[in-house]
Amino acid sequence: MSDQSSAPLQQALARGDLGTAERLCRQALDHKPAQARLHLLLGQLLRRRGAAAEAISALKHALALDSDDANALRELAMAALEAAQPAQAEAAARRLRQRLPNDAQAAFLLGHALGLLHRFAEAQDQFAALGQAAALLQARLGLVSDALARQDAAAARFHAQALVEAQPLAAAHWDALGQAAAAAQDWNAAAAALREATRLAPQELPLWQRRAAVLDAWRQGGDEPVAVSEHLLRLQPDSLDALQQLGLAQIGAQQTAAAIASFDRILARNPAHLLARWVRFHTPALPCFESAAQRAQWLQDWRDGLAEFETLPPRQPGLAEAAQQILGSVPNFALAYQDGAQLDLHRRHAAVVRRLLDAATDRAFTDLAPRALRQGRRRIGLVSSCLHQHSVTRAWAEALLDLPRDAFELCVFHTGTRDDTMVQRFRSRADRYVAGADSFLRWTQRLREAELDVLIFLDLGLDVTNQCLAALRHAPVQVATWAHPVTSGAAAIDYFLGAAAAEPPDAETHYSEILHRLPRLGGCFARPVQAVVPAPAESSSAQLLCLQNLYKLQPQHDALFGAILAQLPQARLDFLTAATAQQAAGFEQRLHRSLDAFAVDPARIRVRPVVSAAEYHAAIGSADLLLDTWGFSGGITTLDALWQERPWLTLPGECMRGRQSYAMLRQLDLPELVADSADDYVRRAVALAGDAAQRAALRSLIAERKHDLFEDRGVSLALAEFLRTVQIPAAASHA
Amino acid sequence: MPEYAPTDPQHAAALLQQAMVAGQSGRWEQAAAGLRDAWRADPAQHLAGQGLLECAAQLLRQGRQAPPRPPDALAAGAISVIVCSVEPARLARLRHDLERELAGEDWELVHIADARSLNDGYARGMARARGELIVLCHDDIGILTRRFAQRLREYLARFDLVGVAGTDRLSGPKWFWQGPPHTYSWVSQPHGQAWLAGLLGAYGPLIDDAQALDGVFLAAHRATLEQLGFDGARFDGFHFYDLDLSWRAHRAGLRCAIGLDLLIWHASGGNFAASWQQYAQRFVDKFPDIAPRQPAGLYRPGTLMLPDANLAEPVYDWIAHWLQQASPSR
Repeated sequence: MSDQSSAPLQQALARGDLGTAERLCRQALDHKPAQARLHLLLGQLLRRRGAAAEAISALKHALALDSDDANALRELAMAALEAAQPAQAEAAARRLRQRLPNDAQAAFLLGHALGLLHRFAEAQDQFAALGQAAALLQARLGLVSDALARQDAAAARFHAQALVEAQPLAAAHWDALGQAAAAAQDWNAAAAALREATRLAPQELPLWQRRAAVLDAWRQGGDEPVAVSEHLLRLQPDSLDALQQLGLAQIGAQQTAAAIASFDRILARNPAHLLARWVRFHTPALPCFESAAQRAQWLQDWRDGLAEFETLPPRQPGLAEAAQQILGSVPNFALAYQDGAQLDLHRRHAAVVRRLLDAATDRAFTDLAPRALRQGRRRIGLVSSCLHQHSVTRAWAEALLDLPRDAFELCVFHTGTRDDTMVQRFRSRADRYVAGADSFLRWTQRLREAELDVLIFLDLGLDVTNQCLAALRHAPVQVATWAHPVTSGAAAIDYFLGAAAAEPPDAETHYSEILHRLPRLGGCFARPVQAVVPAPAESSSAQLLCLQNLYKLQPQHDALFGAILAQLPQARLDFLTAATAQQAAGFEQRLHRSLDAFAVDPARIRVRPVVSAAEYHAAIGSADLLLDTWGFSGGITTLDALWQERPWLTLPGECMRGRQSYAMLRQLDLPELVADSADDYVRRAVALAGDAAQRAALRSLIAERKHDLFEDRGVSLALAEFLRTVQIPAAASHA
Repeated sequence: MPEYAPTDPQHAAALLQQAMVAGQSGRWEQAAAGLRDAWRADPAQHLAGQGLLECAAQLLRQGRQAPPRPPDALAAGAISVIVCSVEPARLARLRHDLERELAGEDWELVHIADARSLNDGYARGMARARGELIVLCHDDIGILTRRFAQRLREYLARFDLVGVAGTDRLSGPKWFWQGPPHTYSWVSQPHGQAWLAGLLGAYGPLIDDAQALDGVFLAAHRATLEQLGFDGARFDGFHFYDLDLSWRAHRAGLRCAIGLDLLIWHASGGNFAASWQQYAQRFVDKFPDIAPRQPAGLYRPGTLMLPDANLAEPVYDWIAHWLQQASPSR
């Protein structure tokens, strides 16, 4: 600033008055437009106030007047990086490199620009020239943050990998790698990197928090999130947030009793803690309850808990933040396992979810305005968190994958994080496939952008994200299915796809949606995967087996099991509960009380927690008779047993979810295996278990007819026909 | 490339029916032959593939093993297995399998812990590797065959580049884009404590003239990889290095094959985030003739649950025995 700058300009610069300096600089340029240094100064001032695009223009002027000016090249490279113009930055930095071959900053800027251009090998050459000084590594750590801020996961990962390579014992570098992998939704790599980071720096709270967040997003459940949350709680023993995190992790690991204890600790310190109150009334400590009285009390608590949320003032302080946490916590799952349709409770619950959603988003999203469905090829959306090998896809995948391409565009929104050959098949069929552990907001945006005609929520009730999405209307027609065989209760869901053979005559009264009955079993079931297991050993005593999960094994079942075993002194009864060891022990304890009343030796029952798939198949193969639950019967488990030609005894329940086995056995024309009362159930079980010849005859019949249960293309055609012809229902038709 | 049978769904349905009758009377080998022929006559007849696995399971339950195949000539040279991995537990698991299968062989494991992309990692691994026979594989796999070294050397004696899953007709930016009958895989996947054996494709166990291979496991001669190089500039992430490499190999006239009985399992943690689409576009930009002219074909693999990894080889021995036979001409 010598000849070209006035004293006022220098004074403004000296006192940091950049606004005045810029004004004076522009005035000076009016008089001396050919002054390269003034253009440079203007560029610098514009950069400092964040006007990168304008700065680039000024700096280009400076370089047009003096193409060798290293300062202008440096400023231009930096401004271009700030303006997200990496190609421009690369050009400027490269010229600077030529001008000043030994300038470290020039190499750094060029490496930075090349990284953003994803020319990683060239970028690494630039950084390699700089060595591995601590300052450089620190600066490069900044590039990870910069790339993450630009949502450029690949560039972030490039820099983070290089940092890990340079200093593999630096927790910060593994942390950076974890964050970069998480940004790419590569959860496995993210978890691995953060595992290493926390190993290296076990006292660093933010590292543990990020590791917990990654595990939460990954949604794999299991013991690791619990262990991480426990460590977080040790690091901050007074934190309610940490305790809350532990409770949710415990639910993810099916440690329900421990989770209840965690949330009770929160409520002891803060009785108004909304998330704790929400989770508390949704979650039974033991899924099957210790007694009928406890079960009745839980349902009453559920009603009371919901009522509290129904009366929450919408403007209650802190509600928005609490609502976000609540909506990401637990779905309305356990209610489906209680007696009766509970339609009113499901409706009220769905209404509360909608209110919480409005509170959480400050009504940022509203229902899609009415819009006509497309003529011709319809665009079908499919939302599911269970597109991997799962009972949901066992029932639904084939019909969905069979949807003819010429009639339907299929857009798959996979809210789960698993990937296997089944997911690959959906990816292959889908005209558009999106997956990832994203927020409700992001999923909503995707659903809206897709401009769907019909949106199918395949498995509502199993996942919190889907539960939130179903609270809003994203398509002119929205559909739930029996993959989770209970009404959504949601006003935004128009139709429920049920199974004609399983729905009772009054089924319409069980759903908030319009019930559409797909033919027969309502599914095009893939044939069960056979297992290579040894042939079962012959046994003189009847082996009974119940394959139902603990939620279905309600206390009213115990007396029947006791009565059956009392009349079959040689028989044994196994339960495969798919529960944790602790939960299974709770059920066993409850069952023993009933067995005592029937003077049955408890050693004749065996309650098994989660078993391997092979053990599951082997257990079916060894069973003489399978005993169903009522209220919520078997479904996929029934199919597995019938495929192995095993007799399955059922007692149909009141709602569709209690009548799936019944529908299958009717389709096989096997009335011998359908009881009409609890007493009849006991009588038939005792008779069948004691009559090997009748069981053999039944097995022959099942072997002859079992193929009728599978690969029912008629259901696929009916689903396609429904999706081809379905219209927006009249406003009042399912109110 | 197999001599593909003409598609005839009606004939396939009749064959399938005959096979089911044979199965119901316990004639499992006869059932399997019928299922194989039905599958070839109608590649969309997925029940046939499922049935083949079930026939193998039934024969194993009876304690019957498939007839052994005669050994073939072996490629010589040290084996270098190059793996990019950031997860020590996975790497240790794979190393355990390799140590078991390559005991007594001249081999090494080249671990790249800081790959910026798989092309980058494999290129650097190549620079460090000393072997003549190079394996490039993911870290989340395990080896199910107990004849791994033998099969690897047999196939590399005849081919330049070998994979375990792929296609002999590439028509889009995924190896399985063309769909049946041109897509092949016997790769299994973990299923809890068991494995789900997969069966895709009615021919095997060796498919020559492959056009594209899945990168979960690739084996090649050093000279082949040096000739092809790795396009790390364009495929600078974790996608499409495999299709790029194998398609270029095919176009260069190299001998490419799918060795289906190089049995592995793969704990697919596939990541098809937005970056996949970006790289798919790069692939199509690089090879415009691969731009898809039709949607990806549908496929449905047969599956069988294996409670024990040692059951994989006997099951697939039967599958190989059946599929390597030609169908009777009509």
